[in-house]
Amino acid sequence: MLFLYRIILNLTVFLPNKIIICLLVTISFEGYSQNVIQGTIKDETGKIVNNINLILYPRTGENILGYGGVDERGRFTIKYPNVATDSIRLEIIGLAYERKILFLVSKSYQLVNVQVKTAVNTLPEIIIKDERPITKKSDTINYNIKSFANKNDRVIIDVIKNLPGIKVTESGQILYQNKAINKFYVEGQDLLEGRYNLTTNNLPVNAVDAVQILENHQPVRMLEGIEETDRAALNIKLNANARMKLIGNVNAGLGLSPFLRNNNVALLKFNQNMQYINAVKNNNVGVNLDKELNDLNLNLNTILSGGITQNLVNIIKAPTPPVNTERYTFNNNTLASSNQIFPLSKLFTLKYNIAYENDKLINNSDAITQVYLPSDTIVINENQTGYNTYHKLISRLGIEANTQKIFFKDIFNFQRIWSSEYNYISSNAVNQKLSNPFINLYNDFSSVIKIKNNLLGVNSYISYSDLPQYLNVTPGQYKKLLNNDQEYDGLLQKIQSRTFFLNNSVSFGKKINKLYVNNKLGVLANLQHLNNNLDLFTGDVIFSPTGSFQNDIERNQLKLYNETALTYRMKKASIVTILNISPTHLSNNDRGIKQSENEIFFNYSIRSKYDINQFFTNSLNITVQRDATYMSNASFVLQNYRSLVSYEIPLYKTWDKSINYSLNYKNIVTAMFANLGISFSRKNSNILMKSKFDQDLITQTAIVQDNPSDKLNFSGNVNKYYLSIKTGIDIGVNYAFTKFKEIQQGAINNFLNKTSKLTVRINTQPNKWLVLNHSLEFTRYKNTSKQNGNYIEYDPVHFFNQNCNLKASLFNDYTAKLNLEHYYNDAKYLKPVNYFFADFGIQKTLKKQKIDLSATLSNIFNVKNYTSYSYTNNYLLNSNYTLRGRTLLFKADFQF
Amino acid sequence: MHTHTHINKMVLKKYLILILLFAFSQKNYAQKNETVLATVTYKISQVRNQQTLINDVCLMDISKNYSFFYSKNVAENIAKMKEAFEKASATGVKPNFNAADFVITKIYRFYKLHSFSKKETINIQSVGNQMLGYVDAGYTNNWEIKPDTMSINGLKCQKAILERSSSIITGWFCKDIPFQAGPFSFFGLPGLIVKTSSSDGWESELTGITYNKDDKKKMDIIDYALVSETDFKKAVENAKASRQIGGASPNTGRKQN
Repeated sequence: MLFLYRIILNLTVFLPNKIIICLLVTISFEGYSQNVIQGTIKDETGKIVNNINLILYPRTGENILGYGGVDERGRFTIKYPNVATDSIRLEIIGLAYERKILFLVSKSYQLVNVQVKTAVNTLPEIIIKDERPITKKSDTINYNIKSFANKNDRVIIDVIKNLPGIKVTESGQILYQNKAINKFYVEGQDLLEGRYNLTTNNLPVNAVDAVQILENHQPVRMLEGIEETDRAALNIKLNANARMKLIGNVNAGLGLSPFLRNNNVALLKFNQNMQYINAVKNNNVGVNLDKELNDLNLNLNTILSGGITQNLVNIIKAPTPPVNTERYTFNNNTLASSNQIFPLSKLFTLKYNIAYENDKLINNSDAITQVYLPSDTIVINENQTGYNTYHKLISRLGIEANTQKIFFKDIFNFQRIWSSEYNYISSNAVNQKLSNPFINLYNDFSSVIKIKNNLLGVNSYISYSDLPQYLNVTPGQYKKLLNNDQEYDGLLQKIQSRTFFLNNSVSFGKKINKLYVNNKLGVLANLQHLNNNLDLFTGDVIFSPTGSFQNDIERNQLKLYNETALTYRMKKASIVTILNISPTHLSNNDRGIKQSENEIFFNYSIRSKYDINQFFTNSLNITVQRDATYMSNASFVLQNYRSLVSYEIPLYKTWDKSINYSLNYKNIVTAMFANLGISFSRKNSNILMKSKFDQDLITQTAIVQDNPSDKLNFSGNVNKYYLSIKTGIDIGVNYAFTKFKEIQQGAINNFLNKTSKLTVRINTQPNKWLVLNHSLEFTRYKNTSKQNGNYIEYDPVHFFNQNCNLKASLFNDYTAKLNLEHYYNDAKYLKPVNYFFADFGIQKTLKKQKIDLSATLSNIFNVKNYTSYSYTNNYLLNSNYTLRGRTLLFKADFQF
Repeated sequence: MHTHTHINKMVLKKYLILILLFAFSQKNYAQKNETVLATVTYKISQVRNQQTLINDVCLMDISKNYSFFYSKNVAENIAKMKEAFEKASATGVKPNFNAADFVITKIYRFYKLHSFSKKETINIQSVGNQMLGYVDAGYTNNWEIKPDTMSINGLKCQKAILERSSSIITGWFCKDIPFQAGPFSFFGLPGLIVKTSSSDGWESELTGITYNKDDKKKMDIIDYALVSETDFKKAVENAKASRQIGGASPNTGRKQN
């Protein structure tokens, strides 16, 4: 029977409607128990549609009477049983078509031709969540965020720090298998270069699908598989929802006492064409926003060129206590940052980063420094009150093309820091005023061009930095040395260092079977001008000290270098040897007194890596490096109120040899990562430091004498995540041994310092309502010195810190948060100190509004001081810091 | 450990041969040119006598006229091998296959190609060292729709029962998604089949669905030779015999589920 219907339906194209109806009526009289609806479906343009679902119901009700789809010609047939109801409802649902509902009279047969309207696909979409917590594809390890996050995690760093194989340091730097990552990407784009704290601290967890580790990541795509790297990159994979919309993090916090605030607004967008992060933040609760501007992946040229701010003169401060920084930082910190990356063309992207930060810091501390000398013990008491004002402006503009066929990158960076500090030491009534600004700008260009099968690289790094600093100290110090033992009001040390740095090179790379040869020819120039002058004053009268306390030095280094790198890759192993030959001209000119030398350095390094099996990889690196620089400043510089430093020395030469071995274990199926590292380095130099103590005043000079120093470091780490109980355990051990010498009070002092450290970290989510993080750290410092053949054993110092953080989900979306901290510190003969801190917070989550409302009582035990003991060589420092007392902070956190 | 490594190597070798086969086999089937309209992800398993024999994630690409159901892990294994070979040819270093990078246990080794217009399913499987497919003639499609409804992964689903000679299948379908397709050999319900469980231990559940918005993704149907069911069975027997006499079949040393 259906066959007949089909024939008729086919005839509809040719026959008049009346004839068709007559035929159908005739057939339907035969009295079959099934009814039939047939027809075609087309869109508004008359085009045949596919993937259509037709469902037939009674006029009211959800019982399916019949259903069908369309064939390749858009035709459909629905059969349904005779029903009591006269009226039926035909629902038509299609991919990218508006849903259509037709109400029909129930007949034994009817022909229905339907037109549907195209529309945006609004069908329910479920984005695939690979349920495996960790997966690996080629060199990419994928961490499924859903498997590791708990419902109290808000920003992505909360989850990253608990991922197996990954660690996050205090500064926010991310390590994979104990090595810092070389790139941080969001959806494959590097918006912030090394300043990725801004992303990790602001990107909401619910925007992220996965965190990916790209092992052995070569950031230059043209060099993938050609130039070896042993570092990994991290990529954030966002979920589809987050890629489409503006993401935001808004926090508003008010508290007491004193009046406290913690307010942040961060707006983020990451889509295919453009990414941006804009943030404005302000707090006076001790959160250091400068961390968000730290470059965590510094370029070697930036380090060599003096592109990092340094204090040529400084204020002595008590060492910061090993407690949570928010407990002792009294700040008023503001940060505004804008960062964007967008395509200029198919190849090029343009990005800019601009940030302004200011901070006003107050610190109160007492310090007792004991210097153990063979004949004497010097005790220095310093009760300080300090005030620091700090402004920072960072701007960066970059253009980049990074494909398999072209690499071009140029970054222009400008940085300006204004910093001034006032400090009063009440114990000896010393006032200090420090101004230590910093200006730095650089242009970093690199490009790789492919010429046939050879790679031609061009690199250029040009920078200028300026440190115009001064230190004002009252009353006058070193009166015997500086003013013929006459009292005077104060000193003014002015010092300025300006450096022009250039490192330009051209490289040529060729691949010959398994061997890749890269030869780089370059020129490096480091031109530094240092001038300093020390003035004394009494009242308004400024006068010069007795003797010369002025330097006006031009230090130049001009280096031509040829660096040959050979990379040999085998199935499971690779070996990279680098030989650097650099004829160097060095000169030092201090007010007409000229020194100069020509040297040729042969430096080499060997890096080898061998994959033992799928789980174990080991590597061995050997480096031999010689270098020389002029660092002479014949006249004294007042480095701080109690240190006068001069180096009247010839060329400072160093010979460094280092060897390090590492063994890594990785099993993503069992979520276990481990690494073992041992390194030894010997550094020889021709210059030895010499310190002379005159009560609390120190005069430092340097003399020419063979000065070897050794460093041994051993570290081990095991990191395992138990997926079934959502528990991660991380155990780390570290042992470091350093041996060096220094002349103190005319006698050579050989130091031997040993540091042992054990860290254990556990994070667990035993059930849906409880999250527990516990970490403990035990450190032992043991210093020994040898003077005139006699060993002096200094008392070991122990630190034991514990931190327990508990989050419990209660009824009605309330969460209780408890944070407990314990700090123990001793120095054998001194009374051990124990400190306990507790913070408690309660949070109510308004799920619909995506708002967390919380109240946190910090430092419940109202601990207002922290005392600690630590050794630096033969200096025992007993410092006491003023802490923030008990505070109450109300916060509203909104994420969208 | 040695045996395990040996087996892994054998399995890897098998994939190697498979890839070569794919590379040289003829591409006779026009289904490849069709644009993928949607990709559905299913978590599937087979448990028999309290033992999990299959535990895998499968994908189903749906085009205008076809749906193609396959293991995500098998597809990824093949992609990894291809990538390793491409990398090897670029760098000149032999590919280093790491068994830990491949998921080779409890995976679903079959492919199902369903034609909406013909209402037939082709079962595709690796036999010996070739991919063979045959039309599954024994399939019945008499779903009985029940009034029960349930929300699965946010999708409103309705129950249906299918009785086959060897098992009873409970299916849940979503009327809002207009594809009359489903996992394994199941199809023919008024909406996408979201979940199935059968009395012989097979289970599947939709965990994701995405729609292809840019029209770029094409159906990537594995190349196979279409044979009759009888010839297919013969080929299976021949492959078994070949293994027993120590033949060079890449399946040697591994039990097929």
